Amino acid sequence: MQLKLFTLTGTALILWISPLYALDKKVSWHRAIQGGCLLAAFGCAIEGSRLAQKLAKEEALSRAKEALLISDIQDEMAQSAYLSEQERRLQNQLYLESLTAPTAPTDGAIAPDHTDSPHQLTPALDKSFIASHQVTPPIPEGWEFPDPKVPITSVVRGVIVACLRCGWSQNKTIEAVFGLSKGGNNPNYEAAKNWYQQIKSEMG
Amino acid sequence: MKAMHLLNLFLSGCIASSFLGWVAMLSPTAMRIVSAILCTALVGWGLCWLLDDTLTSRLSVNHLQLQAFLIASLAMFLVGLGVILCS
Repeated sequence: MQLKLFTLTGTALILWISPLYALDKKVSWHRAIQGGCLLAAFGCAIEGSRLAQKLAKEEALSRAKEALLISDIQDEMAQSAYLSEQERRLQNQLYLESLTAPTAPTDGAIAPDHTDSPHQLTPALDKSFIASHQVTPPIPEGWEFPDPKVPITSVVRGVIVACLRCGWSQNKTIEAVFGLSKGGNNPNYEAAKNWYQQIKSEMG
Repeated sequence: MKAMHLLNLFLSGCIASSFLGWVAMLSPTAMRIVSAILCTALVGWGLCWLLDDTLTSRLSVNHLQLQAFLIASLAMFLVGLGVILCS
């Protein structure tokens, strides 16, 4: 496109200047050629300006898209830094609480050692972190139990995935999603259990 | 690209001015017609300088843009006319 633009501009220049200097104004057909060349040069210049305007708009659009992408990435990085900062504060807080918590030794028992490794706090920290970040329940309001014998929809699949991410057990998930409880040889429960295990294996 | 766009617009103005000069050279009647057109354009150009406040509010441009346009149009006219007269 840029080559076309430069070609149009060059052509306009050449068609403007050269016939006026190369041809004789006194000869009638020379004059006609000069007039035609001037008109052609005018057309080339107008077309070149339109093309340049179109290219300038495309350039501005691509620059705006790039700036938007960069700002999105920066926003994500800032968010992840904020979350890791929050996690670090929580870790420090829990560690300090564990150190300052009063522990009364029982009769004949030895007082617990306060030099616990921070790694022992990790399960409690994980639970508190998950609890603090779990804002929405996995089962939406007004949930209607689907039939496990028919192929499940993407909505039901998403709800089961949400339950798995919340750390719910199989029975709890099946009871919440399908409204079925374990007991006896219930074919519906077996079908629901198959869906649960399939989705769990897909999640890895 | 914006510069190329403005350059091509300037070039088209110069070519249009040369074309007017070429038309004027065809016959004495054409010369008179083109002279009348040019005189009208010159008067209009002068009025634009005097009525710049009204024009800027009507056309939603600022003073600098209007002045740049007027100066560029004069330059276009002079360049185009100069090329045709010198050829």
